[in-house]
Amino acid sequence: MTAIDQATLLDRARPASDVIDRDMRSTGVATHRLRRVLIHLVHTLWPVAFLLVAWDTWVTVKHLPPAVAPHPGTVLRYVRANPGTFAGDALDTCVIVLGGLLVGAVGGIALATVSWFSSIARAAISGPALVTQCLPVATMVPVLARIFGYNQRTVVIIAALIAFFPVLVFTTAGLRASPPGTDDLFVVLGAGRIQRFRHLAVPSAIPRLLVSLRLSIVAAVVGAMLAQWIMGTSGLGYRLVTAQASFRTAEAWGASLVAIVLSVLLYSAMAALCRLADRRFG
Amino acid sequence: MRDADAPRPLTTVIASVVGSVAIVALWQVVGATEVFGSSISPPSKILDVFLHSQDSGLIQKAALVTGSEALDGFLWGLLLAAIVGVVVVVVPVLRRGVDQLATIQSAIPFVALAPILLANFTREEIPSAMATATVFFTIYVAMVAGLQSASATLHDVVAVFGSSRRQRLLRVQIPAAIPVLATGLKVAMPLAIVGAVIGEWFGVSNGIGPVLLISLRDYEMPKMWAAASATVVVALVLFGVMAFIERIATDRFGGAS
Amino acid sequence: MRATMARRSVAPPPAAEPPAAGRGVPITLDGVSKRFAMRRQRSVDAVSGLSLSVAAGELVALIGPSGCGKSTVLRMVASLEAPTEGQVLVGGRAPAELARSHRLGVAFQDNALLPWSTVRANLALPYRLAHRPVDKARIESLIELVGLGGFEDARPRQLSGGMRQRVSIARSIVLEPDVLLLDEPFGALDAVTRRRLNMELQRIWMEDPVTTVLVTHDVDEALLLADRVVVLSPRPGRVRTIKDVPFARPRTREVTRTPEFHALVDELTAELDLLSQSADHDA
Repeated sequence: MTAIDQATLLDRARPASDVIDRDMRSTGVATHRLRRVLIHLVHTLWPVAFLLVAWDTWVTVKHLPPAVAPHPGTVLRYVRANPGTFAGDALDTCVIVLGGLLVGAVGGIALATVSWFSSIARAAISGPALVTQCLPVATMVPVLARIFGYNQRTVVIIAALIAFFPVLVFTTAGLRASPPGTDDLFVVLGAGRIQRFRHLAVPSAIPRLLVSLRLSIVAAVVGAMLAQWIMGTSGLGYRLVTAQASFRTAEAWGASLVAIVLSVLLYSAMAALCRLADRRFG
Repeated sequence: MRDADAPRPLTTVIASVVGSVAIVALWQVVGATEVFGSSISPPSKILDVFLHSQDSGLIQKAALVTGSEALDGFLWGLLLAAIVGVVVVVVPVLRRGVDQLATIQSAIPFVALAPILLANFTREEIPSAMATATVFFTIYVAMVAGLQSASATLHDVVAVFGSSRRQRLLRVQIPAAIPVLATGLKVAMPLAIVGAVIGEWFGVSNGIGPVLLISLRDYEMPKMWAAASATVVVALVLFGVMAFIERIATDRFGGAS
Repeated sequence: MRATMARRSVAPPPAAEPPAAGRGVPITLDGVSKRFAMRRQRSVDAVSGLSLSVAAGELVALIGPSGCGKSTVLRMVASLEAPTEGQVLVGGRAPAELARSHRLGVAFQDNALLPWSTVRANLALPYRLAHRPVDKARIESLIELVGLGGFEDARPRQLSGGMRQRVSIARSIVLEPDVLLLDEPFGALDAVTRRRLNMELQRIWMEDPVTTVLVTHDVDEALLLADRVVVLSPRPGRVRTIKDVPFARPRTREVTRTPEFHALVDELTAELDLLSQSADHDA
């Protein structure tokens, strides 16, 4: 139920930003196109500029020593001076995230499909599924680390597990979200179970599946970073913990910054993919 | 929205119970026979930790500490998100940028926040601060969606009656926001626990987080499983409380029909 | 009550016209157009060069095929939209001024009641928005007037659709506005409830016949309630025909069964059919 509520929240949140789009469009009728593009850029990019300026001012005003909090310039220079190692770590984390997302999403979709076909299966997993929705999965990393061992495979499993739950819950709900009456219509038209699944359940499930993928990719980054950080295997999480342990502040902040950028990029890419798929199937 | 609330025939209930029991039974068998190694403690051993071991008190105290940190951070998150939500609804120009900021913030992996939090808060404050950071986005989204959930016609009616901006906010938008906000709070509650535990991993000695890490290091599997279970229980209880509040809010402030 | 009203009214009725039986202020629309901007620099003319005046205390019904801009006309009088060209005056003032001084009453098809408030609290809302003390006696009498005695403390979701519309109508007149605007108030109700509420609206309006604009797509409803029926042409909306409704009030069920009434219904229905067809061809 939780995740479904979250889907409704996200769905409700979307039209609001569309309203702004429309406002900008209608003002744009009178103004020049270039100005509209500029307005759009300012609207979209001011947060990043704001963050950098706020960070710089904060460090300056509070007189924080570089060992506690470096200036954004210092961190950016550090990252630029070591592009290879950061790129390698980012790639490592990225591969793990995508692998985990793939495994988790396939697992979630498979289980949701099984539960669509078998009401017994659905009922059987409904109780545990309810518990898992408020399960603090990320806090189970130590347990999982102990079960599966300290290696790359475990990091992927953790990312997969974290990505799995939203996909399962959203897809299960989505498969049953066909417009009222259509299910009866298909039965009256003599459609079989497979046909109803293919032509009714799957199209109804796609919008929610897309929402869950957006949530899952962020969760997978969180899980992968956390696992790398705790188990000290490889990637950005490992870079962060070693740099912190040896008080290389600029490097630690650099790893943080790269992780944030990676996460936002992955999220944006997934959001763009979802919009594309939404236009295609929605 | 809640297709699961359709009337449940008895067989469904039975299947659900059987399913839950089967999973616990499977867990017990796998744990007791150690087919996947000794890392999986069976439920009986976890229960044993709670009933008979000296760790029982320690774990319960730690769970309470984590729970209160989570609640503390949760309330701060609620306060911040509510304020920011009202501001962007009152000043719509800010909306797109703040949405973007909030999305970026929500995409930040918890661990990457460590250096920033360590520079800003004392170690004792970090679990709550982390909980605030984890819940903010969800509550913010709910708050904004809620403030905009009143129908366009209702806005039209109060506009024709000559309402001021402040009156619209107080008499229409905020009451309309309450049920949606309550749903958001329910969703955010388990996240607060996650945030608090991860915050504890940044170097405090109290709470469930350290217990998990120490038992991981010392290979005390039943203790670790017990600590993890205690976290789940705390999360479930807090979630249940929020679900109850949500039901009341929906009853009192929810829409017609 | 009439005396207090006259004092409260902003502009006195024009001296040339004999004071109508009713109350309130006149409405004039002079060469009014409304253009909506759409995506990609395109725009749609919802209303074009429309002129119309409604006398004080008169009930005018706007009918027309769907999408003829009749709701847009009402929204301009209600201060919710500004005309692109031309001028809308209510009692000689801009609609927004009347809204600010809490002199407009409105009810929509969607009842738009506060779901978290009781019937009583919903009726008190206009007082609160106007920063005026809540007149409890007035609210009680209105609840009786719209036949909701016993439901004072019910919330909207405990009421049927028809009952919610009664509350919505009562809310629109609670402050005794200078102008009453009704946009398909019974549009979402079943035919039987609708007919009953039409009769009741007539009774409620006759208690205090204030200047009223009623938007509807139901010819029977228009003829039952209005002094004049204005037929609008499809988009862009213009005044096509204006029909005086000669029947004396109260217009009982017997009146609606007379051949004269039927003839008017048939005439207006035929006209609407014709307009809808031409609209379909355009589209």
